[in-house]
Amino acid sequence: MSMRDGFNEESVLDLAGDATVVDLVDRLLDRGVVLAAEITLAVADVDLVHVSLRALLGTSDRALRMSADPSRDREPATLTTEGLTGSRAPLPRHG
Amino acid sequence: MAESLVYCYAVTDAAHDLGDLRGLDDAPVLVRFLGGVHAALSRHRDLVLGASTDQLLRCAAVTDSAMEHGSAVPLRFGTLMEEDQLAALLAQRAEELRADLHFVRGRVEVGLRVTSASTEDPATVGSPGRMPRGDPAPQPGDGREHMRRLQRRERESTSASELAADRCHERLAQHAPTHRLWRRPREGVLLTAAYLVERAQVDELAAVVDELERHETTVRLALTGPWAPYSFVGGIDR
Repeated sequence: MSMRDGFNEESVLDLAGDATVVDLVDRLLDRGVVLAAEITLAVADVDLVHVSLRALLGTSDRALRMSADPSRDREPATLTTEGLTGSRAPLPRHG
Repeated sequence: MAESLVYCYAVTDAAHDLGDLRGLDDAPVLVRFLGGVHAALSRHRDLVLGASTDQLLRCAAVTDSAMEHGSAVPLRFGTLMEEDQLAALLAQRAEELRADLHFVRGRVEVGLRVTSASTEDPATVGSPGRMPRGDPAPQPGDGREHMRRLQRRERESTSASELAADRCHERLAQHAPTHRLWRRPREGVLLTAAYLVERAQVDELAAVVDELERHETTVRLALTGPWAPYSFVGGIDR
């Protein structure tokens, strides 16, 4: 089954409201070990998603705070269309 | 048809599967010894990668889980290939990957993002030279003066917030000698940084940021994580 239909620009835009997702995208697409550059560079749509999220970052006023509760660290991240919850659940920033 | 493709999420020192974990396309995540290292992977007959949010989140969840079961070295998104090819590539890099596992063991990555608190800072409203939102259009004849005034204001504002961003990073770096820094990584952001710390230090960094927020009024700080050590693997200069 193709996963391409999983790409949904609307959901990307929704998630971009949570700026932590931009940090996630940075890590997954720009960091980590590259075993075979020609393979990872060939991934379709990566640039599009990256550019979309980066462009939106400046429009997001929602600053985030890392959860400092160690008990949450052991909870697996939950996949939702609202963003990451669980180990990186962001809390609204004070002030 | 056999499932001939494997997607590899991370190299781990967990020699066992990661519980009932599902990866891309809802495929079960397995840990297999390949090329001299343990790799967290899933098998696929057909998988098209599109960097959808669902795919990115699933990859992050698998890497997080690997980290919680032991040390984990995240691989770049898109590591999908035949199993034999993966084994060969892992074997070529096995020594480096084992060194990475050792280096990050017991530690997590915490991210910092610094943006300007000023809505007039070009880092917030657009690239230098663009008109800030809300400014009246220049009238004929006063264009040069308007631009000079605008540029001076941008320089002053930017300089103050960039210095504040650097101070924030330096304070956090005192608590985390292993760190990486990106200045102006993209439009709208003054600085991002990553700190590799013991899990127990996460609260310590959060407390530092709390304090910085009270004193550094020209910038906004966002602390993210804990992440798997994405920024500290792959032969980076440490």
